[in-house]
Amino acid sequence: MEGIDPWWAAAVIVGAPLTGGVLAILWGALGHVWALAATAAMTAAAVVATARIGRHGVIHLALGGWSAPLGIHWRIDGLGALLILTTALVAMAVAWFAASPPRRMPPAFWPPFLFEVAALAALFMSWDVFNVYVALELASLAAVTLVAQGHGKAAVAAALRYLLVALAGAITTLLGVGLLYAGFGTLDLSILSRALAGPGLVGWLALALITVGLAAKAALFPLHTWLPAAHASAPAPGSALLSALVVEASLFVLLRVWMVGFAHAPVPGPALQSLGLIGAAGIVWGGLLAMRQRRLKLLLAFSTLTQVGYVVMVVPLSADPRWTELAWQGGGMVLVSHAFAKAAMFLGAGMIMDAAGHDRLENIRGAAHAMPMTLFAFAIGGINLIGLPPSGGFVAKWLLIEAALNGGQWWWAVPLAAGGLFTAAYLFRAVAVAFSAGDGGALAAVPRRQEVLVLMLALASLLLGLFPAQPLSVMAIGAPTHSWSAEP
Amino acid sequence: MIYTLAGGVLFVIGLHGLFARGNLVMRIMSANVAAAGTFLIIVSASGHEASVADPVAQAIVLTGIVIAVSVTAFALSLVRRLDSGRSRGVRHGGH
Repeated sequence: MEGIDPWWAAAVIVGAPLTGGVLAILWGALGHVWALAATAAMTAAAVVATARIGRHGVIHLALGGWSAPLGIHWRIDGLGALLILTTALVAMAVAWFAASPPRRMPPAFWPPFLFEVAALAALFMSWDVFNVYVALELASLAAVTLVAQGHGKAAVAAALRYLLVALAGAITTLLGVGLLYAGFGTLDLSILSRALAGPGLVGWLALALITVGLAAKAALFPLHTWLPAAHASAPAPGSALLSALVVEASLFVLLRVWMVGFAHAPVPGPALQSLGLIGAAGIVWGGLLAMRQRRLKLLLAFSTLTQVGYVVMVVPLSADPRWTELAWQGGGMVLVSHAFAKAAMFLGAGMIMDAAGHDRLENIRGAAHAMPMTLFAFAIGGINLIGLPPSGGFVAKWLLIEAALNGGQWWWAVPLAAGGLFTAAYLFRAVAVAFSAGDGGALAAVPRRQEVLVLMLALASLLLGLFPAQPLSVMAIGAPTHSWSAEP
Repeated sequence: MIYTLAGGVLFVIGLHGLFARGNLVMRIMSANVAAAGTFLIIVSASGHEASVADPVAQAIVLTGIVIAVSVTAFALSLVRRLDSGRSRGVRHGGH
């Protein structure tokens, strides 16, 4: 593994799903085969890259041999590598799930699925803000295609609404990126970070535009209204990918812009606090609305809003340079563990839907007796979303609350803790119905392979909580601290 | 400077239309107006030597145009799919 050029790893990480997507268009009947091969290759390459970063630190790649500011710079840091690995593993599990007979997804599912994965991988490596914008656009387009494949006109309507919001967000983000280039003559994050020590009007305007644009794509409160219908309309494997990874990609970019691009800028306190307020509002509002849902998939979609809120909290919590790394690790842990947990829960909800023919909460009584393994996995995912030990969600929330208390911003610990209570309230209701006495016999049989995959995804989120030291130390590699910009 | 300001006006008009309009095709067109404004700003505000056009800004805008065209085509195809069962109009409430 030592001898492998990081170039090869990066090329396979993006190239395998991209090639798979093209092959899936050309030979649609074999779509699932391409998807399984591509995600397996990507996972292997992601393991190699992560191991290398663990040993030698951040990987820098100059595309085409041109270095910044002339060329495009890719940079894989610890959190980026873990998110790529998470994307690869979740995508592989989703691909196996979606390829399971007798409910194999149709040929049309595979190209957008694979392009989505490729776009996400490119996004997690990009260190050039325009490159990031292009990757985000590709991710949005593929995501809308996945939503549109849901049942009936409602899915198309949800997809169109998602597309229009994503488009507005994209144009706004692009204007911000353009202003950064016009004002500072570069798109490279490292160079920008130094130039933005004195941002001036152009810099602040760019930050505001990029933040609003990404907020629309990441479904931050109050720009979240498109998310529940879109995520609940997509077919289950699509929902799993959208809720677990696509939203997180925009959040990751938001963190990078604030914490790397504007690391040296004198960001005013009220701006940081209002971002925290947006996060807190998302946590509370997502929780309140999730409690009122009567359908399982909608409930899960609303719970994503709460998790999005946690991640945004990282920005105000990292204001104190002593706790930046802690907040960064906490946010990274939310991203990674939520990805596994939410993928497991959306796939589990899809199985319940397949077995019962619907996902109305009051009518899934006794589902646990018919498909115990799936409901067990669903409960583990729930533990993670609530943030109970020993899950990754617990470690994440612990770190964020610690950063809040140590940094003298105790008030942010309140929504962070309250989010868990809301989440517990609605998830217990769903799980209680499923485990109560009822005629689980009315449910159709589900493929054993799908049950095992869902359980493995859920267990992955639990393992993150049982063995957090290793992933946390990887996340710290190349994390934004106040001395980091000495890098090339 | 005047181009940059004009771009800003187009951006605001387009974004307003994108949210205020009821008709789906009008909303998609509004997005295109906003995108055109953005491109105008990027091209006119970049390049610090007045005589030489900035190639990077042009590359950005060119990529942006390609993306805008494909997103528009995709959005219009979704509108058609949405509309295929209805007898009249794209969507009520617009004009």
